[in-house]
Amino acid sequence: MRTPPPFSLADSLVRTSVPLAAMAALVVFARAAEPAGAAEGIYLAVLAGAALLAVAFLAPAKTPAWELGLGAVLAVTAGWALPPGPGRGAAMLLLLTALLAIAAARRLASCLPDLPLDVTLPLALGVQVLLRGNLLFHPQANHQVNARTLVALLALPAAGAVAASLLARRHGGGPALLAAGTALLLAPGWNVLATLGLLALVAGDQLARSDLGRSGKSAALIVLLAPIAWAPGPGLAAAVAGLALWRPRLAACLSVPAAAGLLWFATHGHLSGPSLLAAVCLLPLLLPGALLPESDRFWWVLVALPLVAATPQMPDASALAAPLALAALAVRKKGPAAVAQRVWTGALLAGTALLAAYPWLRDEPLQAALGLAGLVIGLRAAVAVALGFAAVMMLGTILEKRLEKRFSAGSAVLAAAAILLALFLHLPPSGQPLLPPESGVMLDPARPAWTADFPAPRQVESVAVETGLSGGAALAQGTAVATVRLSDDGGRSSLWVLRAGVGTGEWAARRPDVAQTAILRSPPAWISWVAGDFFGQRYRALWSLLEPGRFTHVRVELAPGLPPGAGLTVHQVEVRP
Amino acid sequence: MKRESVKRDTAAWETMGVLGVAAVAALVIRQALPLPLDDPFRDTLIVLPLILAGLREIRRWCERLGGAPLGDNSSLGEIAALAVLILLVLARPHLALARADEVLAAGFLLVLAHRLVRQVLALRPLLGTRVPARPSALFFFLPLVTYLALLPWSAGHRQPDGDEPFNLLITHSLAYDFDADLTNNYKAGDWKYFMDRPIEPQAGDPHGPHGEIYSRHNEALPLLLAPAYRLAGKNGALAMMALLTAALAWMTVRLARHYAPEQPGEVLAVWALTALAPPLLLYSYQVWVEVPAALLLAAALDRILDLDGQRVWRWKEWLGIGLSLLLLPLLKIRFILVSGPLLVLGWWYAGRPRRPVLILAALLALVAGGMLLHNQLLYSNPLKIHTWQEVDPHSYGPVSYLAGVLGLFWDVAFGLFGAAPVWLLLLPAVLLLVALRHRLLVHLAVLTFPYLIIVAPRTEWYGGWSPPFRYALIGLPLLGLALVPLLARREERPGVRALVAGLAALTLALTLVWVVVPGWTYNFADGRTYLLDALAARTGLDFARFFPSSIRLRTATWLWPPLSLVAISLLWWLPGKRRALGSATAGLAGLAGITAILLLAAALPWAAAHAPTRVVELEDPQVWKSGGHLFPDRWVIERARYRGSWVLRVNERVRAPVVPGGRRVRLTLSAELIRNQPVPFSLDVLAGDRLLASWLPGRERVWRTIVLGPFDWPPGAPLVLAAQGPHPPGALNGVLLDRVDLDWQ
Repeated sequence: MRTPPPFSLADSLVRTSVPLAAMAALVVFARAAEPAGAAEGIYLAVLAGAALLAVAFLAPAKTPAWELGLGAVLAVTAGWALPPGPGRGAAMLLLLTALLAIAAARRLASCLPDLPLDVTLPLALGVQVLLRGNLLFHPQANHQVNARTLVALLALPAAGAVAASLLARRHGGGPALLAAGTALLLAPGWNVLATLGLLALVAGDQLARSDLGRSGKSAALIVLLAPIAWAPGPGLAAAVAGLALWRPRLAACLSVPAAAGLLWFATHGHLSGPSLLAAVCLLPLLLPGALLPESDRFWWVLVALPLVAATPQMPDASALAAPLALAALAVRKKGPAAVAQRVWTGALLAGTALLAAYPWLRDEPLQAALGLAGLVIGLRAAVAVALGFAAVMMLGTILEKRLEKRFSAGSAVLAAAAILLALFLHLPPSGQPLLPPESGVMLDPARPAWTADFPAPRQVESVAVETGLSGGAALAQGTAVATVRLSDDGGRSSLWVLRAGVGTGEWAARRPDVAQTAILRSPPAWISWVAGDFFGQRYRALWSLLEPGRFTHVRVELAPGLPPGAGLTVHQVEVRP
Repeated sequence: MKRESVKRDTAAWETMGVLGVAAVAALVIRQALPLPLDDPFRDTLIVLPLILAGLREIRRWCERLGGAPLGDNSSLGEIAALAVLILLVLARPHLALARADEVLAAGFLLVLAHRLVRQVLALRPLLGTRVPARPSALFFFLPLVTYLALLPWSAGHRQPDGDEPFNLLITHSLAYDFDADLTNNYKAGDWKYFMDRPIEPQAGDPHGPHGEIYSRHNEALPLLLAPAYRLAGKNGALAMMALLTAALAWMTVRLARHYAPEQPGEVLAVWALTALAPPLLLYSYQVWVEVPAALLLAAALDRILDLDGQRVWRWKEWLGIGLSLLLLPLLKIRFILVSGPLLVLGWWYAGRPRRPVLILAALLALVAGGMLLHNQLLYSNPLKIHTWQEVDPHSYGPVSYLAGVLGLFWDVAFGLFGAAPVWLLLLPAVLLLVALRHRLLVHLAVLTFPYLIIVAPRTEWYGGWSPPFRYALIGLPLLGLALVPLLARREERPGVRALVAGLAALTLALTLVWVVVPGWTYNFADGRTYLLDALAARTGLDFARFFPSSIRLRTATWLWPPLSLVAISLLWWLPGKRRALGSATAGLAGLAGITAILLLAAALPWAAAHAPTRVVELEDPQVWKSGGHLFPDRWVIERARYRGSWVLRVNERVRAPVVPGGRRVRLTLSAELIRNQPVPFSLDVLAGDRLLASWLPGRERVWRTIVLGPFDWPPGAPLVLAAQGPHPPGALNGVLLDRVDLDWQ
């Protein structure tokens, strides 16, 4: 019997019309409102349209898609009402992330444990739009959306969606989503390695089927080994991980020599203990639930562990997608462990999506997301997460016994509360921004200093300085570009030097011509904005005073001797007690 | 029975306990919150435990009284969203993003809206199959908690305006001095207790024999607010207003039993719209007499409709009808125009008895006469600051009536539909009431016509420094109930769903804007709005011309009413498949409606950029100015009496974008010369850089209409007006520029 399509043609047309109409409203307004700087408005319009399209086909078929309709109206309201700049981008991306999460939660609640392709496909596409939304930024080549971009935005998520649906057939929707979600955290998003890693798992899974014919097995074997052709090191790890779903003991035997070989080739015999430890810790950090796997899946964790430790993270952590996804499949399917693990992975995915997206555009969004809770990939963080997870499990188990019907919600609440508590505890102390948001003071030879006076002496322990260099690409690394001085009326003062490449960098570092010729290596940006046809950047540096005290003035002064044409824009100065 | 009573007592104690714990939590947060005292979210976060406790208890009581349960997962989702928002509020100073406050406030509001929608739906069983005579108190408490949740943000972002500060100053005087003499209060600057901007006595305020300063505003509302003000200051007074507004919301349900007892579902929808959408939502945290007046009207009407030929009145009738009738003019003398019709209705529904009506008429006459006499003695004018000519219906032409009545509904700045477009459903609703010869229409007409005859044609029909729909707010419950027959007879057609969803989505977006930026509901009477000005300033396009204004009459003023009447009615009754819509199909129709709204939004900037310019209002924000200033000032009283214009002085210029509507154009300029120096003055009219004409004004201080052209108009060229002439020391010569009409050929 054929399953009817989830959406009729009329349904599909209406659902498609909403994102397109929202995109039209945003584009028309951007062109009218910001003729000179329409690029950001149009970029956000395209992002919103793409994400809403995913929401349109993810929202449940049998109930009204309110998240789509109201979400589209809210997106247009935000686009029209907020001034251009990072603030608007942050609000829009927060909204789109929330909409996708709501649509996914509603749809998954109605279909799990099944995970049909009509669910995974829009979900995978939507997540890709959020995690790799910078691929949609094409101002310099308006009509040149190349094949590479299309593959990244469409083909890879589609393949990943197929993989997740196939994995769900044997393992159930929850574990399959957990595996896919874990793989997505690493790059982040669907890149070739993450997708191939998941496909290798699917191939191993298919090989385990007794009803698979010879040709099917041949095809599955080819898929299992294909990642090796793309990237030998991570490919080998993916193949062994896939094999674990077919022949777990064999894979366990192979994983140790494979890991040893990978380690040998990657390090040329020079093993580094701390980096090895950090790599090992990634598994309990991301998948604490895998430490107590289903009893029949213990082998999978045994296979995954050496592979996670030894696989070279080249070009990025997505090389670990297959072994980590394998470990994710080993997490218990039910009970507090499963619920807590899903909440943790979901929270990491949401945080990573927000930090990978405009305007934050973090190079390592997963690390940045972990950093919000004070976690740095390593032993301490792994132990902290494992202990927290154990505590949630214990309390969840108690709840399970006392509140039989609601134990899963109870564990979810506990896990979410623990995550939120960690975030609250790691908020920096409440500081005082001294400049209006998204404004800036340009320091140059004509105006070399900026001063702010406090109405009353203020206790200062640290100062966050948000700046960007202009014409600074030719500066040598570590050049002193400004001094920040705190002083009081009694003559006491404290001084700190802001250096290029350390605390600040070139605002146009991402512009292709600057990137090619720059001598200065700008540090990771704090926040970005659309500056015509590239992302402008500003940088944040934190000065922790050796001797905190009460001050009445803060002064930022351009360092003497900078080349002509070089200037520093002070975007924000925040004094923290 | 006894067991049930014990259970109820236990539940009540539990509620008290929860609220007590929440109060303690609020106090703890107040002490421990790491936010500065002037942080815009501080008060919201402090009252949050009380709001959450209130919503929890409403949910619990709703379920206890037979209402539908709320889904746990959705509640957890709301709490998670709330936690994330709180986290972002605390992290906000470090993020340093523009408009972060407003975005987060909108987030809080969306979470609240989500909860309200679920809770309103859950209340449905409480109305049963027939609207009860005494609706559950939850229909009072849910709006109240909503209003209190909005209060800290709104009060923190908008200083009291219009009549509000004077009402509050009288309240302050009554609460602390036990008199209405404001002399000492002005002198001591007691306005500091509730606002930052100093206030002075209003022009025409009465003075006592020893120089005492009184206010022109009545003391009835301040008397009501004084105890709460004494207890909790401005917040206490505002909370009291929220209480009155919530009572009005509850009265709307109670009143519904007289008009649509068999349609509890529709009554629920109308209650939610009236209580939780603009304009009532916007008035809930403000000090205006219209809310208590509407409450008195609703209470009196409810009691009148209960009479059912009862000729002998008991204390309930005397209290419900008599007291309301007498209190209305004490709130504001114009409400006597509502008291009179109420008396007539009371007489009619009581079986035309003589005694009560004679007594009440005498009392009403006594109150009215007393007030007139009081005003005469105190102000030397029985109408305080007004004249008999102002209240004489013959003083106004038909255009004044039409503009005022249409403005109350369609005006983009002050009309009901501009504040909340979902009220456009009133158009087919009124048609249906006419077709049904529904008695609600008769009551609406009897109660509001005398009032509107006096209020609508006035220059200040719009209220003055108030949120929209001020003067007609008194009839809002009846307008809400007017929707019930329409909703009850709705066919399950896609057009209806699309219309409702589209208008509701637009209303939600606008409500977010109004609540997040409370000042944007206090438009100036200049034919524009804060919202349209913001769009015009960002785009350099004239959006306002597409929207109706009864202050600055334009084509849209006359086009919108008939067009919307026809379009909305057609969409509602458009023939279609009359089959029951499944939830999925209904949802799709709703999505189609939202698509239509979004496409209309997309068309707006396009139209503004491509529709030929026919009128340039030179003071508008899309017109670039090198100098000069607005005239008259935006804060001038009775602003609608003046031509809005821009003062252009020597060596200053204005540049207006022009979308050509042809190759040649004739320009008609409305201007007035201001001569401060006995030297020549001229106004150059240019198309971009090309000089078209120079106007050499002769007579000063007289509005002139100058026709220039026709000229060839270069495509893309702006209209430039440049003031020229010698500029000796001292005040410069200049010209008041009102508008330029462009007649394309």
